[in-house]
Amino acid sequence: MIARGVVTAAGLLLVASVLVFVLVRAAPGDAVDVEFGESGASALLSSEEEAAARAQRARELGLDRSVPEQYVRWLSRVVRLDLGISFRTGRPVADELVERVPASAALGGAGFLVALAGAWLIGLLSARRPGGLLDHVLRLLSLAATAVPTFLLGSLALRYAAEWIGYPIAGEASWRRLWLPAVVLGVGAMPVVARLLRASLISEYGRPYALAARARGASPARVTFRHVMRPAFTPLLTLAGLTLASLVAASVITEVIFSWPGVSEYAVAAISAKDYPVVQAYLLLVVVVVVVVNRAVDVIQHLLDPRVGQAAEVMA
Amino acid sequence: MTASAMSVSGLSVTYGQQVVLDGVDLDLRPGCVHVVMGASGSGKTTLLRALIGMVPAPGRVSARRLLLRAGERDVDLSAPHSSAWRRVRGRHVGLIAQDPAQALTALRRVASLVREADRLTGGDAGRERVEQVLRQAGFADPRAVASRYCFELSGGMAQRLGVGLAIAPRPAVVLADEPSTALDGIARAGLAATLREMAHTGAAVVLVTHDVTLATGLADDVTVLHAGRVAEAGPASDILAAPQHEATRRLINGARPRPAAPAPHQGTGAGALSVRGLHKRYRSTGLVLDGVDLDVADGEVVGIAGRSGAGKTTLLRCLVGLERPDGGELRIAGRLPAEAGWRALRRLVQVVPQDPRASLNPWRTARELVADPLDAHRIGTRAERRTRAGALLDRVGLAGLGDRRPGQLSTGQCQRVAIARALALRPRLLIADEPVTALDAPLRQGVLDLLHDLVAEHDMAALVISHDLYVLEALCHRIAVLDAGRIVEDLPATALRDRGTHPLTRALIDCQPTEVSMAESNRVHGDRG
Repeated sequence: MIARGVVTAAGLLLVASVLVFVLVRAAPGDAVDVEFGESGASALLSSEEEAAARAQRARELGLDRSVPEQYVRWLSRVVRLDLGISFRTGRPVADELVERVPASAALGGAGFLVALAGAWLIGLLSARRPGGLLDHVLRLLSLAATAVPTFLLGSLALRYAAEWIGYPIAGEASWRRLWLPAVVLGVGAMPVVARLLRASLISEYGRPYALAARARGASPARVTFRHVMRPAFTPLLTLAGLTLASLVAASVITEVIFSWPGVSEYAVAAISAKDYPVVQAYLLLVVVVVVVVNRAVDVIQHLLDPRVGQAAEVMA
Repeated sequence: MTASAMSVSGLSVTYGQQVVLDGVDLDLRPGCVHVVMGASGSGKTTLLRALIGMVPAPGRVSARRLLLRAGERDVDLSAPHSSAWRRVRGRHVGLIAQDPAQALTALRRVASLVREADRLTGGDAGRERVEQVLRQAGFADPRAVASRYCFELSGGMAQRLGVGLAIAPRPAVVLADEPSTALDGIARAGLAATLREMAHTGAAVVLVTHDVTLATGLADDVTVLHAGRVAEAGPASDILAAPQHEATRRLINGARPRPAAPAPHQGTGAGALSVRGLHKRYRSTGLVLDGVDLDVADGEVVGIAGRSGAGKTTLLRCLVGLERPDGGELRIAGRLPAEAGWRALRRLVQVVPQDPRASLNPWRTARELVADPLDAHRIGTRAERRTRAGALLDRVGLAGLGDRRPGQLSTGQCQRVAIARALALRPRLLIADEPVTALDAPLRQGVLDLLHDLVAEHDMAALVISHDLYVLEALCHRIAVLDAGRIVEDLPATALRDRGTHPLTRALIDCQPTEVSMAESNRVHGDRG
């Protein structure tokens, strides 16, 4: 099962890397354009001189070769874990990423946990009395959380938190600064999982085994936590794993708003500078994280419900 | 004279405007089996739920009197939403669920469930106690089973555990919910014996069922429900022998399909189905089919009898290509699937599934559902398909209901839709998987008659899978008995009772007696009582 997972992941990475490579280059303009445009150097040079300088720079960056050739050169370096040199800063991309990964991982992980814990609590509370007051209120809140865009929620949260409780707007990544973007990130991913958990719990409550447990004298809390929760929540882990992808998307916005010194903020800057090696490395990193997390979810699911793997075996 | 274990009067349950139970009186005496009978919708399941304080949310329960004997004193449970219920549930009232495998928390281990149940009913939940409960439930080696997950139990083991959990605290009242529908005949007989024993040791047993055979064998008292009211109640011997109310008569008459095996048909040519040495092994459960040999001639109706877990369902799945056998040869109309291709052969084999409602897409109308196989195989024009679907619906007795969706049809009507759908392609072989198990007794005869007539009209062969010998005797020329993945007996339907020698065949016959032998056993039971 694990060996098959690695092969799948490798295939996925290969496909993703081609897409990434082509898409990054499909956008008009390249790093040379950006450099010459930015520095204003073109005004000081004659057009022949400029053309020569541009060609020289393109050669340095390897942009004079055909796209397939560039790809093969890049890929052969990547498999040796060499992510290349940033066009912009001239430093190895790997070094720059490594500096920023911990901050992003902390934010993403915290956001994911907030989303899961929140979804769990909301799902649990709203399934207690479907159609009751609490259920309605939580449904409205969920809808609101889905409807409000992350950038708006983030900006508002930042503003009021800074004003009322002196939240540090800028600065190093620290625990004191982590919680607010984590909550903003988590709130966005929470409603879908919460709604599905609610539905899943309600249907499990009506199943014969839950009724049988009650008939043996189990209290509602015992029925919920010792009988129903595990079968209700386990299937949702797949979904939770998938929401991680949208969490990554949201974290780009969140990191920028909260000036969180993470990978996404770095990638946004690289995109505007057409810093291909950095953008490519960033996207690869995201794909790896999403694949790894979803694989991990499969394994956790199998541990929580040994039938999950068995069913796959029978189907195969 | 001992006091009642539970005494109920004026029990009503309403859902909004709808009255489900209307002034039901019930007196449960210790040591007696009390059978509650009634057609679907008569309120018998609601009654059972009310007796354990578990009527689902919007339902409102009221009762003039609802007293339960709990140890030395009576507990008054007539107040709505009585919090007293939680203290008596499990300990003084036990519930045996309808489908035992579904009624266990699949992801818990056996020992963990036993410990929990014991602690909830005031036990110490020690290791010895767990082993004692499991041994009493009929597990010879409690340690081996204790560490298993509940989903790893076989159907029979799940039943024993479910029953064991319910009766371990020795409740004064044991409620059993329609246990016959999910169980094969032998398991049902085992459960009947357990319930009888519970009564012997002083419990009041309430058995909800529409199975007259089971009721006849067990009941001391009978209450017949009709439209939420008690139609008649009294000693079993009076009610079942001389029913006064129309509802009771209908239940009893509809209970047993009349044997009407048609004259055997002389098969020609290759035959509809030929199976040689079919093997199938699952990695999780091991060998399921262990060399099945089976022939069905054209126009012949063959029954497959067997207990749950004998491999009936796996055999069916192999016959329609949903499962690839590990060995053996399968020919449909003389052709091998590997050569002819399953898509072509599926036109020749159609299935009437066990649970009609589950097999019908709830968003489509009856006519669309019946036309579906025609659509799938692109037979005729759209208009022709609709016409054919309409004609088939007329034939199965659903004229004028073509625009209804499954939600607007009764279970019996859904089964008729499923039958019409199976006929749409004019199959050479019809496979009916427990065709009437999901239906109430009064509806069964109608569906069996329909199947019987249709098989003759369409001149097709049929394979009927059932654990109910009566059903097979009503439909089949020949009955094959499947046990542990092998055909252990294969005899003409009319000869099975006389000439069947395999122990399993005998057991199946013994738990489903004919009219005559049942009357005898009643007399014996009556004398003893």
